[in-house]
Amino acid sequence: MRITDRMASERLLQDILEAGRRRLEVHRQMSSGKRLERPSDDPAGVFSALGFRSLLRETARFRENNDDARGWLEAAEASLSQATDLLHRARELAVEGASDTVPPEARKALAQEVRQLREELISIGNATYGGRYMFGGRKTTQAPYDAGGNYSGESGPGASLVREIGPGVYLEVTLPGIEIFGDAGSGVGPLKTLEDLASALDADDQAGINSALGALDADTDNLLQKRTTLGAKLERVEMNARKLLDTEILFRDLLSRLEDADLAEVAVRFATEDAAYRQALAAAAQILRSTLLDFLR
Amino acid sequence: MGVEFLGLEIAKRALMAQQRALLVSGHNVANAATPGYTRQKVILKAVPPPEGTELRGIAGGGVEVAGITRIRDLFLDLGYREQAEALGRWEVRSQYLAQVEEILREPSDFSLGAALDAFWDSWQLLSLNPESIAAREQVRQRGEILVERFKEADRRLSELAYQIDRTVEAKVAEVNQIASRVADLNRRITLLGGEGKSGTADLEDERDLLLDRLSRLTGARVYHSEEGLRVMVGDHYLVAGERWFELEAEPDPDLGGSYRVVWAASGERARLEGELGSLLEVRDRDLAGYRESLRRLAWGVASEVNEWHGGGYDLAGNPVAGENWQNFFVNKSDLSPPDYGFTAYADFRIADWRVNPEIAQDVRRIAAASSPGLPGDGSNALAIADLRRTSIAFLDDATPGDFHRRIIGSLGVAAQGARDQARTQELLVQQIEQQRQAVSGVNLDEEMMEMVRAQHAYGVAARFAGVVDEMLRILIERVGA
Repeated sequence: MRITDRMASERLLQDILEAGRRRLEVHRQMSSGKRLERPSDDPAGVFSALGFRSLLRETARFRENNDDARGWLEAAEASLSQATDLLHRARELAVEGASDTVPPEARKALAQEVRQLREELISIGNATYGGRYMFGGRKTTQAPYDAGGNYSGESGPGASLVREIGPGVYLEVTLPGIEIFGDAGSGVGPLKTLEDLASALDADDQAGINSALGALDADTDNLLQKRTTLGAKLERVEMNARKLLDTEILFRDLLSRLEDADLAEVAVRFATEDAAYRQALAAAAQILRSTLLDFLR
Repeated sequence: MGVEFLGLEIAKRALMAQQRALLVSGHNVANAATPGYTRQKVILKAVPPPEGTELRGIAGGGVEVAGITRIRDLFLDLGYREQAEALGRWEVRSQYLAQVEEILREPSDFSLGAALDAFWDSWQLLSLNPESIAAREQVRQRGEILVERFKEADRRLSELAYQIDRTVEAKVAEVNQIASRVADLNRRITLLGGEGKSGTADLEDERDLLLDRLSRLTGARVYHSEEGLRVMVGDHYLVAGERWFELEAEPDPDLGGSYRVVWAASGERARLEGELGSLLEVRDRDLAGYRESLRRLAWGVASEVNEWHGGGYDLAGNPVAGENWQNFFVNKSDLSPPDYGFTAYADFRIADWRVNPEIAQDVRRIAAASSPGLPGDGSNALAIADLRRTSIAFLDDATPGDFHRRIIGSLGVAAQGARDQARTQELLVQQIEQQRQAVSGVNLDEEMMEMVRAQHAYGVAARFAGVVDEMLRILIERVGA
């Protein structure tokens, strides 16, 4: 094959350009730290990477939702704990009032105290979290109880706030007040019991006091049962938080493996490509310099 | 004619022939770097002795220049042009698909996919705080950002199509100019007696270079015939001998004013390959396809969100159905029934798409609740947020995110394929060009040798003239004395 001058110079130029292009490509990866910058770099890889990115964002959202759910559950638990203490105090008062030796005046004083406890219970039922009423079901902007202990919040199935703490995993994070504190209007729960107790103490009605005592025990049992449920939910939320964190780390790792350049490898490749580029330049300088003219004469 | 002066005649012819050879070498050297130059070679021929002299069979008549030829392989030209067409095609395709990748800029945190994720996330956040104006405001903003990203991608894709139209116009002008040049060169070559005759070599070089470019631009095929050179594009002559036929880029009403390329005389659509064919194909198939996919995704997302939104209740606890803000996304300014500002897919354009202005004005109208009178109810917002995981029949049973990823995935495959093909094609073209150069290129060492050879031959011929002259002088002196 004849080797002509244009051929030689063009070939050398192409080799130099190609070596330069490869060097630049590696340099780009080195400076951005990314292996994938555009879909055509690795279509399948980018397809998966986009999926992981989206899942990562979704997981971050579920972690936030989970934290929010924990906040609500802890606030409810605190309120219910106060309510339990309050019912215990009421029971002590009832036991004291049920005693035969207590004079009627003392019972009136006890009744007074029970009424105060009841008011306190109403204010617990109107507790807020982040400016929203916790125990009114989804009617979060109005107090569920009026001064008389009448419940105007939402009741029945679905009457609670729901948080999505995982893909398709929904958790009810509040309880309607009527299921815990009862309702003076419809005559159920502790609010009714405390009112009965106070009336019985006022009226010096020992049988009434005793029946209220029984009702109070039933109310306390109900409350404890609700607290157990809350506790179980809190535990679930804690576990879920750890699970979500694991998932996030996993996705991050997978994404990084897909998208990120291995810096050590890239550095070595850059050194190689750089050397190749310099070699191409040096070879071109050698070849282009010599002609027959150097040797004639 | 006598024998006596034949010697001088031989010497004269030799001097002239070697001079010619030296000049051709000089021409070759001068054009060693000229693109498209084909090295030329002097064809020397021995001259038979003059008729009717006693020298017949004893000596010849010296040397003469039979012609100057181009050293060129027509078969390699054919191969080169075939590969150049494919190179033009893939290079254009690769270049424009890379720009589409730039426009859709994935993977990144500022892409359409990221905006889609952020939009769903804002509904999640709203489901946590349906009473909050700030959370509602965020849903509106993320909705507007989503619409903006779609609009930007759509607008830039349509700008790219417009840019292609301008390029097509310029390249058609270039083709016309080349065609007229080729026809002119054909005429001049014919005037000089046709291909391969003396004086045509450089004209033929110029023509071959133009033909190389022409096949890259249009996929034109070249035929050498009795009536001169012909160039065909599709099934139509672009150049036939000294005549050439004009191409024209004109707005096509069927393509919404995009350019098409027709034969100026007949108005018939030209069948183009090479760069021009690829430009039109990228515009009409790829760009149009990606725009359509985006429009489909936009409508799919908007209609699903609207469907759920229309079934919900606003912050005041009232149903949004039947109100002007029934739809979260609209694409008309008239928000009244029956479509409440959101049309069917056929009438939907991304450019008209926006968040319902009634909602933008008062974000309390966003329907976060799924039951009346429950301000703390974010279940409808949650249902909308969960659309991210919902397979939508209209989007070929994909989730919105998957549909988007499929677009990006297919773009990646197409762009990668085009880039690899272009690179392969470039290597092939380089390879053939190397082969062509091996045959037709100028080697300076070789020309050097030619020059030294011609120089020596010239010198010895001059010497021969001197010897003949001396011989004649002796004869004249002795005889005359």
